[in-house]
Amino acid sequence: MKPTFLIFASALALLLFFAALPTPQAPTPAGWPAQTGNSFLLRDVRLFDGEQLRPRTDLLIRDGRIAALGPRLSRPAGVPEYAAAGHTLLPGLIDSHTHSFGDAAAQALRFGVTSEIEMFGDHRRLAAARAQREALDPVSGADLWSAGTLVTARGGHGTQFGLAIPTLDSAADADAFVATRIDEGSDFIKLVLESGHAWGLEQATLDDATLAAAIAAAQARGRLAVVHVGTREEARRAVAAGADGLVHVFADALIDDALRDAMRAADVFVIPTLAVLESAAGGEAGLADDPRLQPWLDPAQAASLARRFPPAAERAAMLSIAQANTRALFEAGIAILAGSDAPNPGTAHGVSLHRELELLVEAGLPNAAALAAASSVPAARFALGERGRIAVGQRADLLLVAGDPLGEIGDSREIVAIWKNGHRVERPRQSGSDAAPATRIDGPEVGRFDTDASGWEATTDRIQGGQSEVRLQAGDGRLAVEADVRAGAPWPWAGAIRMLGAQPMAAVDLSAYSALELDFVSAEPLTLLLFSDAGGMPATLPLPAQPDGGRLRIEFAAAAGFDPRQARAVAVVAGPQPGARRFDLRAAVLR
Amino acid sequence: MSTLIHGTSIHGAALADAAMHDTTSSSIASVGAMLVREIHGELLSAWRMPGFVLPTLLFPALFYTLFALLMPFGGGIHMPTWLLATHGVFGIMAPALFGFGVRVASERGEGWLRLKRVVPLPPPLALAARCTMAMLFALVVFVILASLGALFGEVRLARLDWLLLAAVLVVGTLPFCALGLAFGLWLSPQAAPAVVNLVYLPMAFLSGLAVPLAVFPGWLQTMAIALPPYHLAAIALHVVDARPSEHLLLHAAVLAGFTALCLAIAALGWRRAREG
Repeated sequence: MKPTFLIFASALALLLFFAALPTPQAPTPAGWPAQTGNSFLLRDVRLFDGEQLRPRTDLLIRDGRIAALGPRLSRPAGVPEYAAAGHTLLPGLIDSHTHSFGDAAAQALRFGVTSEIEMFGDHRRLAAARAQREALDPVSGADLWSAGTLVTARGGHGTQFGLAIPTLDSAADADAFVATRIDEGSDFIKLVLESGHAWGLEQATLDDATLAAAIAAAQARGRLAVVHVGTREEARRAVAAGADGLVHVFADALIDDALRDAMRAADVFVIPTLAVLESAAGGEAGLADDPRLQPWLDPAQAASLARRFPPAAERAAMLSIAQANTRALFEAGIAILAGSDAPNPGTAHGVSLHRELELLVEAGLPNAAALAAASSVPAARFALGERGRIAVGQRADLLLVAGDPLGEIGDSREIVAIWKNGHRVERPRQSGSDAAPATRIDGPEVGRFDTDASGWEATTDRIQGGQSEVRLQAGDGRLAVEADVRAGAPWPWAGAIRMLGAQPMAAVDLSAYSALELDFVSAEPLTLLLFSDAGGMPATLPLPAQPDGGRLRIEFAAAAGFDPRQARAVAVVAGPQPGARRFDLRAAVLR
Repeated sequence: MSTLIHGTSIHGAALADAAMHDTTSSSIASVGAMLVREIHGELLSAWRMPGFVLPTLLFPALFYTLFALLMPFGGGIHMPTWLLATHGVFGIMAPALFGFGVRVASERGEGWLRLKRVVPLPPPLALAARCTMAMLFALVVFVILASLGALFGEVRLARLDWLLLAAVLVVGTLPFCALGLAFGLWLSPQAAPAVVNLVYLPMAFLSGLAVPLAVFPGWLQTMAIALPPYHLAAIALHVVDARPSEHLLLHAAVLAGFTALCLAIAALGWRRAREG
């Protein structure tokens, strides 16, 4: 045997051997097959666990929970395997300040927000919300924690939204009031301390004694007491009264040392809600123009982002003061939680939390702290259980993004996959609806009742769990409405509604018109509802009693909260006072 | 000559051959030729001594089949990948330690070193040939374990990681060659096999090569830091992504320092053997 031949033959054999050794075959995100079930294995992902970064690890999800975390995990039989090198896995995001009605849960989930903490909303959904968040079922929306009905003074902030709510008027009632909220299912108690001064208003609000009594009542029952504040003085009063957290950062003045020290001593957390303050200050978040977000905005989200607070020069500095305060609080070691206050004008569920992250970083938080503010910190403060961190035993609420949000916070928008309870969240694009909407109006006449109901339908509070009933009868030039308004819903109503789009609540552009002219006969006052935001609150306008009928012109400009470019429906209803009512609608014409 | 040196007659043939053809030249080419012939001789001797070769190669393979493939444990960790690294280290230690430790000692006892002194093959060249043999053994151990892991253990590594693991195991034999040499030059032929065995198995086990260190009590885990196989295994585990390490250079430095120490001890032993 010649040594040279031997050397060559061995070298060749070795080369072939190395060429034949198997390499990982897991598909990369682009090639991921559809996932069934809620078990999977993710390979080689950069992982932010809610507190710190692991540069590269595997993650095993079994039956909706994180089963193992570490390098080179073995793959149990039947569990699909995905390669995610170069991507970053985050805990499903938590928005700590929302109002979650309509499609909020699905809107949030579509942008990786897997839990929302609601600061005021209809308490009757809370039993269902609790059932959802305790199960590991596939769900179509984010989990919800809620304050339910907020605690405010008669005529105070929170009473203006058309939802009839009880108010707290004296310290002596505080304990019973809070107990009722908790019986209704409130996960925590939210109180309102808002003079309206920042908004040029003079509003009634809780006095110190009532505030302190309500906070004490909540805490005695093991619930958090968080306080809406508008000004630094209100923040000082809330902290002095024992608040656990502030759900906005004050933006009227820079924080002073005494307040900062008091907040640190009491371990008060703060949800700055910079996203809504940016909008209130007249800023432009640009979310609807971001190609990483825009295709997944549904019409309601797009409409909500397009809405604006009434302009006010004195609010222009709000955002910069709020960011300076946020930075000072963070540097003092005070816990910061990310919250958007969606769907206020200029904000929308899900997307606006990504803006909030950016604004927090802009304010001076390190990227990891901003991400923690939307994950581990709120999960700990609001005791969300098995959420907000990626660790063994935690629920598999996960967000996978391309790039590295710890280096560039905007990468949180590069969403590749979302998992809720270990199930992959379907994320269809919504932008098909950008095309001109089909309408059900073929001219200004939206109500002629010569032969039929002309597209008008019955509407009652039953869709919100109420008891009211209504009967419609059309013909001879009138739509006869027999409404029986019954107590049950927070704002009982019964009446008739005319959808404008081809699909229920699809938007129609009415900018060619400036007013609605109604002819109706009613012995009692009625309410006109103008819907321009699916799932959102309609604009409500009082209609006077007209026993003899007559044409009444309602200018769209006078309908605060109604956007004629995104009109969805008009409704004429009786309520909220219970009782049987009859009225006739004779004509409805756009002008 | 062949009667003088028992079963390793081929050595003598190669050496005599080299001596006859090239008594004066010190050119690089002829050094290379001598090295190739010496390795050729080592290979042939290995081929004719299956009693040493087969157990050395098959033991790690058996070990790996048993603990990584037939009864893997370790919770969520992918044991075939983890043990490919640690059993690989275990597998390359034996040819280095025994090839040097036991053989050098016994050859010393047989007067082989005295013979080497009369032929013009520089001692470093003989050592280089034997090191190359140990590294070839390491490569074969890697090929066997990698084949088993890839075929039956679902071990999947990036192409570069396969190559790096092979390189770590091959280069990683050097510290154990040095240790074996020190043993071989200091121990008597009778004592060498016992002592090497006594060091080899406990050192491998306590370095976490058989089972992960995590199953040991804390003080035992801390002790592993003093053992060279622990550091080589740390590098190998990093390469296969089973246990990322932030101290790769430190591990490499420990191994280099250990090698230098063993070579110094071996040099003292060599001087003693020549004088004695």
